[in-house]
Amino acid sequence: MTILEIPLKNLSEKIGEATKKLELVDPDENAGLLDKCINRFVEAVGVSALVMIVVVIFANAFSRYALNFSFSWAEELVQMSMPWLAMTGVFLSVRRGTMIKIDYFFEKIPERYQAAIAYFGYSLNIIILLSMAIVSLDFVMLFGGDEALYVGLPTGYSTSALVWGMAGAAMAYFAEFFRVWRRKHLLERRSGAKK
Amino acid sequence: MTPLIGAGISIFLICSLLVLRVPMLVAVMAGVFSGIYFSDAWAISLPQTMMSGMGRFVLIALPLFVLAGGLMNAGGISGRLFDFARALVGSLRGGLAHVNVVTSMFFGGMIGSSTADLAGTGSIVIPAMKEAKYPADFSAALTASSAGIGPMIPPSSPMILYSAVTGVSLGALFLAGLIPGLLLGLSQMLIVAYLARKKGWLPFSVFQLGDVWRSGRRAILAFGVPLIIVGGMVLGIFTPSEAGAFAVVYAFLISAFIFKSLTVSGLYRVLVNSVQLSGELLIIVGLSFALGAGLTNAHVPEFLVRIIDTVVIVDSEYLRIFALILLAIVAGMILDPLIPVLLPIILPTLLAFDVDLIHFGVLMVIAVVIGQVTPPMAIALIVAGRIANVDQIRVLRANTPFFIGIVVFLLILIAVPELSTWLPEVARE
Repeated sequence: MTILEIPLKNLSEKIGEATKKLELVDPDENAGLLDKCINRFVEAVGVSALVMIVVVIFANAFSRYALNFSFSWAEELVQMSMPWLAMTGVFLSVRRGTMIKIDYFFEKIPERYQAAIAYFGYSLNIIILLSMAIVSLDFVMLFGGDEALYVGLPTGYSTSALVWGMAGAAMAYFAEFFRVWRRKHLLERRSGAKK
Repeated sequence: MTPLIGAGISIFLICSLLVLRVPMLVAVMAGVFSGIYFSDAWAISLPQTMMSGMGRFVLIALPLFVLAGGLMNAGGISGRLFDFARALVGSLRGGLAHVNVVTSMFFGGMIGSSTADLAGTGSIVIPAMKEAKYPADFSAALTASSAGIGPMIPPSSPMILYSAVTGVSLGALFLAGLIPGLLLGLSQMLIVAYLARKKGWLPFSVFQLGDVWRSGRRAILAFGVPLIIVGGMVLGIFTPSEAGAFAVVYAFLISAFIFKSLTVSGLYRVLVNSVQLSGELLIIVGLSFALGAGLTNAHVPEFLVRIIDTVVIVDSEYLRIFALILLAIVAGMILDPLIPVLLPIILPTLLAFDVDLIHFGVLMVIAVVIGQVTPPMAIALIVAGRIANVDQIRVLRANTPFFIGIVVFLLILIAVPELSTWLPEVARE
């Protein structure tokens, strides 16, 4: 049987490289210094939570099989780290514009209404996330002093992630809203000056 | 105002906000807040329900599986998997198209964002298929459809979400998805084989046992991740989170010391990606518990049972499952992630109808996959179409045989639940 006679050599290498590149690309490459610093700090918190989760679970399972001994606090510590992992992830998604949303219908809306709807969206995001931050703060103030059974730390160390995360995400949306509004304002001023 | 009308307003609010491009997290949160308002519930119960939802131990596995997949990707494993697939099926007529499908089946073992995987592999495979004189729209449609096999083959993130919301054993779900996942891949290969014969597409390479052995040896380490996860859980050695932690350590050792392609900065980037990919999902799952509790208090499940009993006149379990899956498919055309948003609404209905939750879990994942290739969202078709530089309508048209294939496959799976429930039952015995 005849075989394809086309230059498909190194296809597997190219695929490996493309997937690797996608995995390793720095999303803040073109960001300003302040933005980079904020994102790096939050990244460090999230990465620390994730690394701690991996290490604690691995060490606990390993010691249970190898030494017939398990750490009573392991499960609780992992569960206490989860809100930090989740909230840093949400904050970074907001900052990098990768939050899950549906673009399809928005793109079908006439262009002249799109800016107004986008502003409405930003305002709503800020209001809802701030409301959640306030409700979470109430929750932390009420129950945050309760001690975790095995770890012995106040549960507020864990639940306060909700307050920081939601407030942080609201602020990130506010910054984005301001940036978009200023850009539009500047463009309008420039086009006005040209006329 | 009756609680049911309040719940209806909450659902309407979520849908309206999604249409206006409000992020899903905020839309669901707004819906939950409105539900709290209409039911006079205590707002402070929301963070409490969210925390208990996020704290489910099975959910801890999600960032760990994503991290293990990311580490393998950073080690350049996709190229090795592609090479192995080429050696196995590249010699068939339409070899490159077959290789595309088999690579997706292998790639199913590496959890991550299926759209990101599609963008990575598709960016090379689609242009290569075009170069090999396959129609551009077909290349895009096939790549998009075959990317849907990934969520069926364990480990799978929709299955983790399903297990977290329903409490069904994750190991059993993974096993349940295995045979349907392989059959779905096989059905796509049959479609490719038919088209290849009809259109005279050529093989991609010559079959050589030595080539299979060589490429298989290079790729075999990649299969360690799904083997640790599924094997460890099914044999009762690990809990899901422990399986995830061991898979992460394995993937790290392989990528850093055997493939020697993981740097410190690369490791950091993979960790950040895993945090970012899982963070939003974890919060949405936490919120879905609050949403589910609110809707249950408003008697929405009973209302749904009444509707289904009115629509499905004949007393047949299959028809009821079909009606519920139809609802999931319609919702899946718009919602992504579908499972944590829809499942809290229909779970009590499933329990009322005594539906096998493992069987339904596999059907739900297929509904997710169908949603990825069905307008208006059709995210997989859009990404693949952009890579192929083809109009969306053409890709949609070229996808028709694969779409019909998956719908027929879904109907078979509804009628023959043993295809998904047999393996978990054997493992249980």
